[in-house]
Amino acid sequence: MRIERLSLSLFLFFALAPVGLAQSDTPQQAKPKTGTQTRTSGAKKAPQAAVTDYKNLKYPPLNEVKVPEPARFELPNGLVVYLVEDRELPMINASAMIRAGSRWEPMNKAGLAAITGTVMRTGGTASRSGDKLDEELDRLAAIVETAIGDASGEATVSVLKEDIDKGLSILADLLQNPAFPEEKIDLAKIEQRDAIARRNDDAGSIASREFARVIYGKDSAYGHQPEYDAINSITRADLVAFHQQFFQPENVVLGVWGDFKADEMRAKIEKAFGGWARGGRPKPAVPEVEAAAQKRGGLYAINKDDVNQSTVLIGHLGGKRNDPDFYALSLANIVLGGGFASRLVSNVRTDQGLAYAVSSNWAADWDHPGLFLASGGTKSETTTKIVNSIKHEIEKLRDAGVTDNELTRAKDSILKGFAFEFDSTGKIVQRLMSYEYYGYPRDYLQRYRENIEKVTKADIQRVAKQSIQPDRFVVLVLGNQKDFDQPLSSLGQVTALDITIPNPKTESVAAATPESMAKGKQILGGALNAMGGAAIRAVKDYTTTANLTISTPQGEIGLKREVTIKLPGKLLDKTTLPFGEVIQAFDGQGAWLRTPQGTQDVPASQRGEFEGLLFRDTISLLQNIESNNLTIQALGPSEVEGKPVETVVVLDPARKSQVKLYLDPKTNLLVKKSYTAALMGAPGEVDEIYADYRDISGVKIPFKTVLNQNGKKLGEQTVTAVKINSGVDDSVFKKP
Amino acid sequence: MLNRPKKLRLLLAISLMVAAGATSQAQEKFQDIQARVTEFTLNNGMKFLVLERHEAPVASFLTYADVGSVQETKGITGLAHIFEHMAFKGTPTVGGNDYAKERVALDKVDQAFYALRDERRKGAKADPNKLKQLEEGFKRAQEEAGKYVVKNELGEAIERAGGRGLNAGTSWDSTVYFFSLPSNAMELWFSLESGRFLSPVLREFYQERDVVMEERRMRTESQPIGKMIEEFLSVAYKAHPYGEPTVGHMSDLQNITRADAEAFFKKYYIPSDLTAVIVGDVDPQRVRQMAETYFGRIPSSPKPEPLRTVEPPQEGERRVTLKLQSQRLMVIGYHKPDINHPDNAVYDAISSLLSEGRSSRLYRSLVRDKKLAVQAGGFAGLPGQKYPGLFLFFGITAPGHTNEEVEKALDEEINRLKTEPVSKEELDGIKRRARANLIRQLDDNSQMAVQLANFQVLTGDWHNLFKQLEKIDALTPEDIKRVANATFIYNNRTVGVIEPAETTAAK
Repeated sequence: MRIERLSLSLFLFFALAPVGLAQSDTPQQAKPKTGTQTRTSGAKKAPQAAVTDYKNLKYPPLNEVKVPEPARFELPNGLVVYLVEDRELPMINASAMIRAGSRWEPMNKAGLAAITGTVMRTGGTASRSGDKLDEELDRLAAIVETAIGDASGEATVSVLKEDIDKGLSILADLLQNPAFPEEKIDLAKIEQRDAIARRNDDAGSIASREFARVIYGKDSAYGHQPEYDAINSITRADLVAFHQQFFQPENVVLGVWGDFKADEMRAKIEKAFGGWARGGRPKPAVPEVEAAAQKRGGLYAINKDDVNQSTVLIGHLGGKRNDPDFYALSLANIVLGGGFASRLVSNVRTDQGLAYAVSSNWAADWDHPGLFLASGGTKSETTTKIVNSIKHEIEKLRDAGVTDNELTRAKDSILKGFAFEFDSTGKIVQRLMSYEYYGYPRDYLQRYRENIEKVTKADIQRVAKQSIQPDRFVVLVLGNQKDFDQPLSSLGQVTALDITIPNPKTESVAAATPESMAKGKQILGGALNAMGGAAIRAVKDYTTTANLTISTPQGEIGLKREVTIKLPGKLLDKTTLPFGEVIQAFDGQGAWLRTPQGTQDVPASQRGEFEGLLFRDTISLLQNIESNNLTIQALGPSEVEGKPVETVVVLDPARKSQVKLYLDPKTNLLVKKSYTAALMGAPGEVDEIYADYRDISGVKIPFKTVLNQNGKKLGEQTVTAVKINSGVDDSVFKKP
Repeated sequence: MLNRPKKLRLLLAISLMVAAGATSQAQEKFQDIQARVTEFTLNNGMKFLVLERHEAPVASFLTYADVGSVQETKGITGLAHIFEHMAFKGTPTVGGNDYAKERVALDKVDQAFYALRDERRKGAKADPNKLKQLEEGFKRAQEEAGKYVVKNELGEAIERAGGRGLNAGTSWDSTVYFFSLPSNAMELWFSLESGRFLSPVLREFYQERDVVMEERRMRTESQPIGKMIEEFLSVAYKAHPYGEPTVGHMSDLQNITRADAEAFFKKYYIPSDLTAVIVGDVDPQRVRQMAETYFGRIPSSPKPEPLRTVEPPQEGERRVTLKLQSQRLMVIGYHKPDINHPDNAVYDAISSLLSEGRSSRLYRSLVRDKKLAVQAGGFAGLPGQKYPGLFLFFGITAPGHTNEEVEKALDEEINRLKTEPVSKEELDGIKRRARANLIRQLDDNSQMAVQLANFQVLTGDWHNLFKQLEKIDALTPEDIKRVANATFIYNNRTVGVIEPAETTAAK
């Protein structure tokens, strides 16, 4: 059903169960039983009598499950591929999972991952404009979509089989060469701003969002959300950096299924994706859930005066899908609140008529703890009643466990329906892709099945007591408090949650005008004079020696560093680390790296970092004020550490890099520089704050630099020596 | 290098070849599917469609009752949907442990409710002590009757068998009941499903009525879009029941009785108005045998009188504006003929042209170029298709813009449809997408069951699921222009708008 129709129609189809009533959550895969299928006999039988007691029904054996076994292979560049033929329909589907997600975006750029995911598709590539791509796909009745969620990114293709070459080519192009044009970024930002504006319109969304944020932490990897300031601050350079950071073939799992011949498809995939160079970046680490997430229990309230039904959520941090207790907890959840026969539905809904929607979910996640949650909606006048009723059911389960009957039913609901895990080829492939992506064993589904079979009543009693703990419950109540049966305070101490949407503090960077550009040049001209004038123009090369302290999760590290820059575009960096010397260099075309282990080339995809560094070099920027290559724009006054500054933004010729400069209006010296870069793994907003300017051969050089990333201090640099124009030879930058 | 006209012709020829290739493969597929459908009708008039698909040992089952909220009148709005809920309560033997005693107890519950209701109706003159007594009496009667209940036995039986997707839904046109089972458990569906339409027991009626009231609060009263659509439909229709909410008005819900629900069932749930569709790993001959055995038990009944009321032509534009704690959005509806009208395919084509894909007209104009909306579209199908429904335009207004701007932009696009012929390229895209969309559904059992049921009951022939493509293929730009000019006119227009309420506190 098309999306737009869905959003309206969903409200007009009155159903027995709310859409998404928690069913038994079955992770997917089983031992493949390849086999012929046996059809039931077609011979005519004598008419039978109706069996009125269904318990007396006898069923024939289940036809064997035909499980297509997807083939797995890996390209030399690290891309993992799952392939399976399915001739049923003249269609081919491809789905790529990419190791990217909003959990890795900087907090002050919340929304970056989502926008990158959107514009990857809408913005097209260098060779295919987004608009042309839209037309082409619609005309072909092909569907190509990209999106980045919290833990993974996804790119999907669905085409009629004769269009597969085009489909693969488009997919490969979008993944590798997104153009990220400004006008599509603007559109995506409008979409994000609209989502922010609407996020308090629907009671159910507010409640589930705020529940997760209370537990995970509203500024955490799993609990943060986009705000206007963050959206406004996102630039094209941010998207480029995010894409560069995460989109490398080693981070991608690709699944393809449909009407093709496997060996031909393999060849097509190798052709389309083989040329994608390895990125070489390490796998991003999975962000931890804060320890405090375990301890955020309490009663939280959101008042909404335009509803006559309250939404109640009760629960706490949960677990992972491969925890030893996951299987018992899944079964316990089925009994408690997963399905029509569950206790919550029977007692809260059917018996008491208190709710239409009531359920529970042990929502385990793959690689980090998920949530346990029980929820229900009831009229305002029975709000505290439903809170107590749900709590009561949970406590009963903990105290007395489940009956034999309930345990058998819960197991049967999973095991007897196991054939459904194989009722679609896409389901089978995507399941294996998830296992690959999250590092689960390929036979996880079989293990899941076996573990479910083994669960006993005693297991359920034990895990319920251990893992579901009422004294650390987060109870969130959203509703019209003046109509509640009892004041919420009768249930305990109440923390009111403020969900007011913060107004934007900063506007997005406006387009450059002739005035702002002239002003920008003027300000930088002043800096050029203040920092050396002719002496700056005369710099051909310079070498800085410094001591560096860097903060890492392991503690403070002290380094010695010597950086030689030969303008306009060569760089040599010698850094002495605890384990030895690391040398990196860029000679304008190629880059190399030397460690105690040996020397290697730096992949093309990472050369951009060197280019960015050289672009941002202060002396280089000041030398290039008058060149026509750079776009310089004054942004107006602002503050650094409480002191007034003038802000200027400079864009490089390719409009890929951007750097903001903050200058002291009195001394005209550079106080701060900020830009986006990937230091210590993830991309972020980096600040360099300068102090202790000293004159070296007529050039003012800051001898102290403080380095911050995303607002946190990363390190400090103290210069010990500077040599200008010592006549550095080009050979110094060549790979040894 | 080919000159331009030659190049164009060559490209056209190639694209036609490609299209033809796609068409013939799809055609084969459609014919193959149709060949795998078996249909039969029982003596009592109940119809069965069986589509065999043996890819996995599962099957989806769907019962389509040609009964919806259009069957309701004032005072019993919401009843069709209430009955849908009640159809899960079971039979004398499923869901209950002693029917002889239970039926007596259920009658007592009804009596207790009538007494309570009658006292409540006295309003200010009601005796508070008597009310309290009657309330307690009602509660006790329900507890008594509850002793004979085996809670949710129907749902439990299906879960035990490994069933999935158990649910049902009521709309204006129809009520559908569905779930999927491992295919070897097919007889369970026959046993349970035939039971619920042969001898349903409407136990726990008043509790379930409370559940339905919560559903109304959730979807309509506490939900801005739900509220607006209910108001909008009540204004778009002045006579026909498409203007009434399927979930019912709250005052009707509070007064509907078990006797009402039983009478509704007896009148409308007749076997000749039931169609069952089974898609999956089944043997049609066995299906037929079981159908005769289980559903053959349901006695025939005379067809009720069909709906009399026809919505008269609208005489002028109608508008309704709600000020809610919500961001802006708007809908514009125009009355259109029902699904069996010869022009029905034109409306689907217009919908595709306007809103399918990012090169669609409304996306390009309102979202991409003018940036007035974050989403915009147009589609047919609401409230229903059995009777003349609406073609609905909608816009989700972007922050910093007004509904007026969105309305103006929608009107410009509507005007284009009336004045400019659609290009061949756009029309070819519409046709190709209609084909591809159908292909994409063919490997989903429950989706196919829904589609076959809809086409069979609404159009009289399930083959129309496939034949509709031929109708779309035959469309010309003149058809679209003609239908647009006949439909999208001032007198035929209803506008529904959500404006943000002025709030004193910051949102």
